[in-house]
Amino acid sequence: MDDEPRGGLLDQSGMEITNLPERGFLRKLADWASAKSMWILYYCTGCGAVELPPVMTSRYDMERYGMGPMATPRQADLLLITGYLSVKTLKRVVRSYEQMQDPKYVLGHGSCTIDGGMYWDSYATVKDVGLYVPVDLYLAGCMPRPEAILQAVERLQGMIMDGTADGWMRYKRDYKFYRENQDKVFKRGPDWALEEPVLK
Amino acid sequence: MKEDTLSDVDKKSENYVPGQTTVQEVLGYVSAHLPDLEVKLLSSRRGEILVDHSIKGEVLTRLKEEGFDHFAALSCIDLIDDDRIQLVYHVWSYGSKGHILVKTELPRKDPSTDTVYRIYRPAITYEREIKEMFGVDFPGNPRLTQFILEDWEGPPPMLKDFDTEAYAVDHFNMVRRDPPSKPPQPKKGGES
Repeated sequence: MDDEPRGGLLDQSGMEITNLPERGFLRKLADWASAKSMWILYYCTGCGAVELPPVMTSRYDMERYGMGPMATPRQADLLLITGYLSVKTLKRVVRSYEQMQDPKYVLGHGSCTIDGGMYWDSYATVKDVGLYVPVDLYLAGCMPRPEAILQAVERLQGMIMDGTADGWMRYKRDYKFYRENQDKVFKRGPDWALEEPVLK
Repeated sequence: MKEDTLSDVDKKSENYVPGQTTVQEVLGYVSAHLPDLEVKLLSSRRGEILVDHSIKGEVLTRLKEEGFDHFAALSCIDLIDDDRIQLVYHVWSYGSKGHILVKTELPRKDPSTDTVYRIYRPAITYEREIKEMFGVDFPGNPRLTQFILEDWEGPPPMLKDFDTEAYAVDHFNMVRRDPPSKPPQPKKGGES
């Protein structure tokens, strides 16, 4: 899928942007800060949600990593998709993702987000979530243990500090690609209030 | 048929308790008075009645009067080899703890049968699901809108001639990873 041509970088008026800003000191500082204080929005579909209570509570205690659960997408940094997505839930995921503030990250949790997992030939289950929202990191397993979740979060924090967790920028840059795939499986109704995201 | 209701017959017996008609009593009554209906006792507290879909409402109304007032489920079976679709109305009696399956069959092409939501209110949702998954139409149902499969445009997915793998490849950009030799698939399934 990486070899396919994607949409260019668009500015507010839809024109193509060619000069991207350099990643300066302040950006790096901000990335360090956001890596160490992640608010997580759990999209608890499927069975993966079962692994989260031990991660949150005293046994594995994710607050050591500066993470906390967040109730609303508008204040969350990390979208955790814990399991399979049907077309109907994918629509809600895209909507939640678009409501999140930049920078935002997506962690695909479990085999189902990678290729459908045990629902590989299902008519209702989305196979690769990365075709519809930019996934920064996939976490394999059916289901992954809490240790694996913590390992993934550590890895993601490293990616954020390196500047390689660029899913939120890819979503804007390759919006045509994601939008095409989204339009293939669901329709956006008139109540879909969000405008098309653009790279600021 | 109207005068000689099941209730009237049962009320003549000395042991009659309202709402506690057992499965055996119902099946005994049906086989004695309605010989064109096929009945079968599956176990001590479970029986089935095979009816034509035009009179299923009447049968279900009587069953409800006799205490079978819990509409447990509406299930659907695609009998593709016989070119038929079978609907099974599961009703349960809390009084006699009995379970009756009212089975009815429809042609596989353009299946349609009247709604039973005036008898059992929960049937609205069950019929909505069957409409979406099997394409059976229920004229009279006030809420036959799209249910779980939002924005679905394909054929009803639970029909046995629906190729779910081909649909997944076509719609979800699925990367086909066939095993070297496919395990043998069971020939049929879901048939009663």
